Amino acid sequence: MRTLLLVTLSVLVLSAIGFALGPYQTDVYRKLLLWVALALSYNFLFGVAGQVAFSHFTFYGIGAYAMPILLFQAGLPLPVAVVVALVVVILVALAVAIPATRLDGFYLALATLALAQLFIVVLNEGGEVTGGTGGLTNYRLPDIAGVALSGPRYTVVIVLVVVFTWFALQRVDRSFFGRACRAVRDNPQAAAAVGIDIARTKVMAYVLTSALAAVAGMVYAFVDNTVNPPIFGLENTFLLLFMVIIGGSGSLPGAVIGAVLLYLLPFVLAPLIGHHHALVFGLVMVAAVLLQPRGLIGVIESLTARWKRR
Amino acid sequence: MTPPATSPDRLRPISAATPSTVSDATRAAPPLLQVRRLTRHFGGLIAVSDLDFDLQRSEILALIGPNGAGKSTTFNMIAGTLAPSAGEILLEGESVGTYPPHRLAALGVMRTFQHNCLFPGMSLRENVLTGMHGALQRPLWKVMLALRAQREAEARAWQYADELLEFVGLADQRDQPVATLSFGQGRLLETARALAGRPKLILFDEPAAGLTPSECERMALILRQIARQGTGVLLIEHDMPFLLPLADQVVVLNFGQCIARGTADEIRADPEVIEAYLGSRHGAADPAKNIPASTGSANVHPPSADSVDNRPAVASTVSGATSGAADA
Ligand SMILES: Nc1ncnc2c1ncn2[C@@H]1O[C@H](COP(=O)(O)OP(=O)(O)O)[C@@H](O)[C@H]1O
Ligand SMILES: [Mg+2]
Repeated sequence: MRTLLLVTLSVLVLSAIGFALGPYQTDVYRKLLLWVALALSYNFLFGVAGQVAFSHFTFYGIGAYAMPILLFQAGLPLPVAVVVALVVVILVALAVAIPATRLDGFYLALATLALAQLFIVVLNEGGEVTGGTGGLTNYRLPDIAGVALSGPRYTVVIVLVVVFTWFALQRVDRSFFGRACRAVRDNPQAAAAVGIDIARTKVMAYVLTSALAAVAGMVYAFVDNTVNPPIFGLENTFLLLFMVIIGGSGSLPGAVIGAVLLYLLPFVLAPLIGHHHALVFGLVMVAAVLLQPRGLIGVIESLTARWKRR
Repeated sequence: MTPPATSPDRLRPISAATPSTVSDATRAAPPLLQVRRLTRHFGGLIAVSDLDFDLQRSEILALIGPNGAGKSTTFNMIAGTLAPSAGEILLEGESVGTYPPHRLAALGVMRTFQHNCLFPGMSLRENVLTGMHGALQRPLWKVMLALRAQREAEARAWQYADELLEFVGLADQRDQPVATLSFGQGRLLETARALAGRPKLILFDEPAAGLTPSECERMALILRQIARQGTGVLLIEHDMPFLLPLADQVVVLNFGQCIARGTADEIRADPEVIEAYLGSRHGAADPAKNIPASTGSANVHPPSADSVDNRPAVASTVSGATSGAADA
């Protein structure tokens, strides 16, 4: 009941912001929301399950490309396209996770790096289907039940995806499964002794978070109404990693703080110091990692703890 | 230290079976644990050779022997972390020798570790909750939708975790991180975590090692309570004064072979055991002097309808035995 209230309230507030913004701000706002959704699920994979994987943007990309391909090349109706895309994503995630998680964590990093590179090659070499280096353009979301979901109305769709991602992951994190993921991350031997199937837990965490990334990708497909290869490369994957680390890995609010800060930082810094913002960015990153391994959420928590003690 | 504040009634949910179902089941069912010609090689070394023993429900079996005798190897085979080279392990008649640890845990075999093996990033309560993994497991979509059944199961689990923390005497620290615990408290927390799985068989690797005398007392009480509620207890232990009053059955290993087996009294009197293990370990002229007399063990076995009142007496007996060892 309380959750329902919180869900409704956050959807209303976040959507209201969407209705108040101009076209340029709307674009920034929507992408910010998508970064938050990605950081939330990557935070679970990296921070809670402790899996060092570089495939999160690949699944975002698979989701994004799947929409125009399935809707306009395969001619599927929207609900069917969504289901097919999810099935494909789950199969790809299983194909990566089942062999990789049986080995040492290092192999997951290697396997997911390989997957990320392979995906870019497939996008570039995909001919008609993927549109090659130019990607796919000139499509738009079909009307749903006669309603055109554009402008602020589409922002509401993105808000729903972000809010769903937050609450779903919060639930999972606080359940037996979140504890199992942390147990496997911290002490696999003890985890097995209490009855946790390590391989199964790792595979489930990977598939779940990859599917959530893909859902964000499906929504992204109609933000720019174009998808092209560079967006889904490793550069953004590393930015995502930094968002999670700087915000505080393993913490949902930390992931939000990290995503908001790192996504908006260039917008603030670029007018002030021009191209040097990348340098400042890098220094902030190094300082954050060295000074507070628990990230900004760690800083906030220790400050509030001190304040309470007063 | 105060004895456990909980009454026996409140502890009843700790065992998988209530006392009445235990007595019904034991009539027909095979023994809880049967170990048959169990053998393990490491290259040319025979760590455990042709070991046989049975463990019944409600029974405490101690595995003793000098260092390198094969105790941990035996233990690890039963817990599923080491595959037997030959022989069989039967749990309630089911051959489980090849099962991985998580599967054995799901069947009701829980363990503690010789060196504490806790989850450092979690609170005490969360550590105990991990022990209930099997009972709480369900499809993730149900978790995401937060169905009522899911929320209720989680709430019950929290309550049970708190009861178990109270049982081992750590209730007031349940929200603290594990890092704040002493070694002995960590051992008690591991015990609560193992109990959370409602085990049929529970394995302890040197439960008394590194504990303060008062923690030892509490551990002895806990082990006895666990057994009384129908769970089989298998323990490796070096501390004879701790162990002998507790064990119903003792199996003595030396170089991987079982050299003696019997009740605590029989083992205490066995010249071969004194020669091979007890004598050499304690190095005393009369090793039997280090071992509490059997009158002591009669005192520490309270009747099953034990009330809270006679527990301090139990505790002082154990404490006397422990400090006796320190004097020797
Ligand atoms: N993983 C292993 N590899 C090789 N030898 C081992 C291994 N584990 C135990 N051993 C050997 O097996 C014998 C029994 O060891 P162990 O079961 O640990 O004895 P205990 O627990 O009774 O002290 C010892 O000789 C030990 O060196
Ligand atoms: Mg050992």
